[in-house]
Amino acid sequence: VVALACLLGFPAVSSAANSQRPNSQTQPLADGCQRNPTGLLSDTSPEWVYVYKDPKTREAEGSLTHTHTAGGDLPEGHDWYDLNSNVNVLPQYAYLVSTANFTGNTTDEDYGRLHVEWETGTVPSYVWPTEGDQVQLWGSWVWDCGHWGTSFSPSNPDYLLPGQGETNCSGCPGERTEFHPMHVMIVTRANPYRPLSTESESDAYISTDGTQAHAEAQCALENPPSNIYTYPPGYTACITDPANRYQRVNDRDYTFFVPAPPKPSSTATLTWRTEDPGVSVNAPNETVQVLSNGIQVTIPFKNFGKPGQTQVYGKRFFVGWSADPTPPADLKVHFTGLTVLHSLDPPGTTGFGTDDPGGEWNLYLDANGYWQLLNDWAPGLGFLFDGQTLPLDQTVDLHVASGRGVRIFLHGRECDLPKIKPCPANPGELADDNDLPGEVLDQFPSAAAAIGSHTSTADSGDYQVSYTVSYGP
Amino acid sequence: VTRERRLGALILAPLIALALLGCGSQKTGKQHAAAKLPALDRRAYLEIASDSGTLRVSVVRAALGQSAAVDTAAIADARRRLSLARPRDALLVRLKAQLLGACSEAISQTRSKAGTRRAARKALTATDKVNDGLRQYAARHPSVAGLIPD
Repeated sequence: VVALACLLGFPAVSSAANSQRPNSQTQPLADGCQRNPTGLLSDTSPEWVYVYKDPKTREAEGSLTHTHTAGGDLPEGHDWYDLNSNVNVLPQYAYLVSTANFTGNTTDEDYGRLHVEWETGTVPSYVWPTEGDQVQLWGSWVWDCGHWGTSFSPSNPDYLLPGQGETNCSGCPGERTEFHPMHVMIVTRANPYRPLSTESESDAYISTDGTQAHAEAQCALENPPSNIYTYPPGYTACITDPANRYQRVNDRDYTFFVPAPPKPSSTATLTWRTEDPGVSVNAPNETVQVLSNGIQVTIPFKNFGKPGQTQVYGKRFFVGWSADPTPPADLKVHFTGLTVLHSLDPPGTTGFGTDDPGGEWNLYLDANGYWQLLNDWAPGLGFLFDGQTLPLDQTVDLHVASGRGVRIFLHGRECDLPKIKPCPANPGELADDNDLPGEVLDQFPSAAAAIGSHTSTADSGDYQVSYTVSYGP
Repeated sequence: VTRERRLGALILAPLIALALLGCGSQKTGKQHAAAKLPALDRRAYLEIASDSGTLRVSVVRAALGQSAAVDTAAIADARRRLSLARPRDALLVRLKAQLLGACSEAISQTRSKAGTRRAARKALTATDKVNDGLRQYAARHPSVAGLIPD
């Protein structure tokens, strides 16, 4: 009875404890996760709840690794597949990383890191980060209620008995914490590809679009569970209201620093500029303070605009010097073609997830932080057969600073799950997850090392991409 | 959780784990366990659960008096997909039939405002019962937890 009462509504902890690393075995259940696959699939249990039942926006800083789009997501909670990444947080933010984030394989992308997600349909590609970028993030600190065990194991009772509400399991890792959705992304590029001269680059993005993830966490908070198995009808009604996807961003100002690259000479003076990617709506103008080693940017959002109003802010900031003795190399990366060796869904196959003829793929390119959905270059990716070659014939300009390299990364999914964009709706297919066509990862230590023609095969062996790198005019 | 169920799980678990170790798949143990479910039942569990959600989402605001209408198109689509499921497990067979009936009833009784709300409440109760049954199935086949994508 006491355990049930704790689960149903008593405050989880005092606010003083809300900046402590949470215990993944016990706290998620107190906060509203239900370890209930039926509930997750039938919109009666949330996929995300606030850690400590505290909706306060949290901040994190650190470096990113393993940025990619989701291979699969739960259709009930997504309109678009998520953009995922993992933050090596600075020590003052270590409390955000729950105990379960330190279980499993140490090579897992989120081991010891803060996992962060936001739907790709909400986040414009200009701000998608890449390996090694520094970030300053604000977001909703939540439990991922969809996963509470790492593996099938006799020592993992939460896996063996889902939905039974065990809180004292031995060896059960429990749920992981994450930022989902984010509210603000400030991405300082480790190796910016855009600047024609030696400049640092920070890209800023702020949005009130909290997606379904915000609605689920907020609706779970406002409509506590009826019992340990299910939330009340009011929860389901709440998550169906699009207005509940709104997340407030005008409760504070946002300040960040864009560091200048190394000063080339004692007489050089600092320069800065911005680029507008054209996404801003109902957003304030930033203020910029020029310092000796960079610029301090403040976006004065506090009390700007009206409650409930859609607000989006987006801008790129560049900082350099009046002298540039070693400008970046100008590379042209010409992508010639893509050959699909195994479509993962050939015609004639009648298993799950293969009802429609041909494979339906999404493939993404990340070239030093230049992100591109390859389906826009090759629409044939949406209807694939084994052995098919698709022409790409597209060129990407990469400006590579002295001492920096080139990283070409491809990944994606073969669409089997229903409804989540940019996959087709897939009304005739039903599968527990998408197929994964694997990754291409080519890394060159310098611009010079990248020059030449390359054909790379995905680690899965399912596809090959061909491209040529040359110096620009 | 009864002592018998915990005991059963503890006895079964090492046996199943040993069986999984012998399979040599690259999948995780959790995904592998889910794959061991009978394929037709695996698909039916997913379909019944997601269609139960569709029905619930489609009627809940009418049931609570927040809307005058139910989303009959979404319910009809769910009923069409559900009709394609071919479970072998007796419980899933029963749940499929219950949910098909609830979908049909929710669509047919929408001629008046009062009738719509009454039908919506009834449909909501039906999804509660179906979900209870699905939880029973999940308790018997815990590897369904492996069906939840990231």
